[in-house]
Amino acid sequence: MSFMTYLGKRVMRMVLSLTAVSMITFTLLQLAPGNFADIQRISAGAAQFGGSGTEDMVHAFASRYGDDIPAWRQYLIFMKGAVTWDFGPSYKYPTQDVQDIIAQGFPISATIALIAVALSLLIAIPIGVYAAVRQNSPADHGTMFLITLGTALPNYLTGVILVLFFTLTLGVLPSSGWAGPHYMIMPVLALVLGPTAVLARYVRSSMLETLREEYVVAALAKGGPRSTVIMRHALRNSLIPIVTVLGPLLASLMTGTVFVEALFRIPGLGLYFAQAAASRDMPLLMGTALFFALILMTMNLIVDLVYGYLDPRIRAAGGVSRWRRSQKSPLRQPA
Amino acid sequence: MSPSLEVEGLRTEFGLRDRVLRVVDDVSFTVEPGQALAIVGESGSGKSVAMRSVMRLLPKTGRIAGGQARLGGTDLLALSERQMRKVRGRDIGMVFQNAMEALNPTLTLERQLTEHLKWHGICDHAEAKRRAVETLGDVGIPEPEKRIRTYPFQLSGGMRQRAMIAMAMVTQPSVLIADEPTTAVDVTVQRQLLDLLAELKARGTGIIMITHDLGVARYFCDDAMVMYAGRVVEHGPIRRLLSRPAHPYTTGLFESTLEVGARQRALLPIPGSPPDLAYRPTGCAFHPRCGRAEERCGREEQPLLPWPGHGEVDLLHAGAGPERNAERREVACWKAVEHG
Amino acid sequence: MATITEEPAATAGVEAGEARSHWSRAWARFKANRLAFVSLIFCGLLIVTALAAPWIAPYHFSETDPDARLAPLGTEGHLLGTDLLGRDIFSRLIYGLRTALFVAFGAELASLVVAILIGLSAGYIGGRVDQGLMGITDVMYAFPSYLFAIVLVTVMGRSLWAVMLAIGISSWVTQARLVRAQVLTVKEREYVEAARSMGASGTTISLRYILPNAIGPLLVTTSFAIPAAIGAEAGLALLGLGVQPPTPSWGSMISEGTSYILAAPHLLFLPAALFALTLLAFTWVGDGIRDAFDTSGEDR
Repeated sequence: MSFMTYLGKRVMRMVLSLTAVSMITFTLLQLAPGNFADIQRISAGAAQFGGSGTEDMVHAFASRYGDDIPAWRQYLIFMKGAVTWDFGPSYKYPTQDVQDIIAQGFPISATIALIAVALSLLIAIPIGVYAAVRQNSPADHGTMFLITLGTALPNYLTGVILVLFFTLTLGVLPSSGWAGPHYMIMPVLALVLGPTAVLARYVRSSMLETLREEYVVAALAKGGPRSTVIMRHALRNSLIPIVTVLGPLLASLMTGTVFVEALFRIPGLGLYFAQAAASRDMPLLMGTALFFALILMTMNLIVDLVYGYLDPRIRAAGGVSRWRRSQKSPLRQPA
Repeated sequence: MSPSLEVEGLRTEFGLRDRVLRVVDDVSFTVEPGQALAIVGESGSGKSVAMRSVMRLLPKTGRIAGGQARLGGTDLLALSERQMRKVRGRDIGMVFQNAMEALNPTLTLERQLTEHLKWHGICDHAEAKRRAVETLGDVGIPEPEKRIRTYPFQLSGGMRQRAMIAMAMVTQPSVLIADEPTTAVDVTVQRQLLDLLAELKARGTGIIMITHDLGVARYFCDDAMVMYAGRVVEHGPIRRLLSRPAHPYTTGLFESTLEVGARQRALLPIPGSPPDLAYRPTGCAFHPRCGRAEERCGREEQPLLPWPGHGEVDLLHAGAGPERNAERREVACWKAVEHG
Repeated sequence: MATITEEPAATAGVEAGEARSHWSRAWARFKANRLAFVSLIFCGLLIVTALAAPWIAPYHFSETDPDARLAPLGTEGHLLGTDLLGRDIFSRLIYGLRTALFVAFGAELASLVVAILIGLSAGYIGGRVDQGLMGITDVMYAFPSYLFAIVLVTVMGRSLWAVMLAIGISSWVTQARLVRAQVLTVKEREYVEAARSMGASGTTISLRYILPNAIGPLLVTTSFAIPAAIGAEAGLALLGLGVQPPTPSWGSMISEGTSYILAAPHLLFLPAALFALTLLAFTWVGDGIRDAFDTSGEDR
């Protein structure tokens, strides 16, 4: 299978999955009791528009997502817009189109998430390698403890602990808002711990496994200095499977920003998504959900491609999934 | 002239959570240049651990508890890690059972065949590559200049095994330790690999071959050392050992091995399995599985004694010394020693 | 190296005996892990407290005390202070624990049921059914579970049951894959073949032979899913999408606490601390269970 065929297949699968996601989301939201107007009327948000104004507005959207046309046509109308990157205006922010809100909010979320990923890679790889090389030492046990903390505590709770420490005790960082680079520090730190823990755990166990591989012994038997063997023979090979974790990790980060943005009141896409859910802002909810799914699937595709590039065996087999299917576990081939 | 490897009284222990296992117990042997020694035994007999002890590449739980391993007069077991590193790969090369596992899947052959030449400061990269190509050609890999750029998984099983032997040979070590080098390949390739090793031996390399297959060992080895439960039970010239095995375990091993081209005979497996070292039987460790065992076997430890018996003792001692005595034979079984 | 001679277990009786010793060995290993054991006791206390909340809490969670709003720690009658509406923090923490555990255990039960049904049928029936079910699983996998939970809560409303189901439905994917993988490995074993040859039905084989083998790994993943579900419940509440107020949730308490961080820091500190302790305790229990079942030992 050539690379282009492989890529084509993957993109096709992505399109199918996205269609499935959009249909599921749309159907679910159709089933939801209460519409935007009701929610606005009963919530405090009613003051924002005034009761009748909301009614009018919903009426105005009827031409696009009218209640008078069947649901499947509403879906088709939405999807027709969606493929041309036009999700229509938001209910809650009627002066803005959903794609504009995405264009505003996403860079903020992405900035925090990417800085967090980069930082956690920078921290996790050395920690994981060190813990593996010094297995069962106090440093290893310390790392494992940190890993437990990181996996157990959700990022918003880490955020709360950071707020209690930096804002309340030290009084140095603002507890919420988005008005300069220093507003980024606590959100990023809150996001970093979880992925760092996940990555460090993977690096450590992958490294431990690789260190037991015969080719590491063989390299040592050739008289290789321990550090060189670890860097050239073990680290490289144990980092390859790490790439596969990056996909789900980015996924958890992208959605993770939802909570951190809510906690620190950062106007990122996650916050908009949560608000859209709370106020049942259909177009915004659909648009952001699809956008998140698209981002995640693209990430997974890129990760798979990078994986294929890094491991010559996969390159030769013509794609990750084909190679993986012939494998029991990565990096261990039957004799 | 290459130096010889003399191992004396080697003891290796593994620390488990609550006890210490002696996995290699009082093992001694000598390999001279151009000689080949076969170390034979079932898996778990300590033969591989003994070799890793000589290379000082034991897992973290392992520890060398005693003995010497002299290479040309230097005791390897007394060297610092830094000095030992210079010995590994340069003076002693190692060939593993399965090239698929012993070659790094993500590095090209070029990288893996040249890196130790550079580590040991033997030559620069251009020269290292020239030597690597030459060695690949020597082990019978066609188009070596082209193949050197490939990854291990792109070669066939036999080619991979040759490439691994080339990797060990490229530094021209004086001793080569081969750990079951032919177990993972099929019979036709087996023969070619053995020829390759025999050729190396003819060029003056001392070879230690770990195997559980006496037929393979006979192909080019001079001596054989049979290990059971961490101890040597029989040691001597391989032809004599095969024509007249003294220890019941050697007999058992011989009878349980199928020989290619040998005349038809019944295959007799040794009943039971090797003992858990934590529960080592008293007396002779083999007695629970031995068909000729008597009550005395479970009571008395069996030291390694010259064989055959008393008649030859003086002759053997006269020949002992720096010169290798081609006929020297030892066995750890009182029945063999007393009854011949 | 340490080879222990084992007789092949031929009869069902021997197998049952082995199973029992397998569990008791796991339990012995678990007990030897002091951190996990202490955590288990702590978790037990938490569960008892949650069950007995109405008897332990001095006030009802929605009972307001207009004379004591934002009361500090150590106030008489309100040992841990009160919130903006004058509700007793201690009582709300305990009821919050009740919410968290109810949602978490319920959600895990729901996701286990879904996972076992889907995993078993995909693995056992195979073919088209497998492809279809795994297709659904793949789509679910591509859709981040938190987002799915948020959408579900939007749809089902914010009752305790809805939140529970939303979290449960959005988190079965990993376990379904695990069950399927287990089924595929066990399916070809000889004793399953033997049972089939003796005319056992698919359901019998699934329930009697395949499922018991999957229980160990499932127990491990479930024990880690519990703290995750506790975190999800609080997370939804933090976003204002959790259980409908005034039912207390640690998430909404934290969310309220951030607003009065300078005036009444204990509103933030107390729920955060109890929340963190609970999560850690459940995670350590999970670690203990994993290590107890992992016979390969020290490496991960």
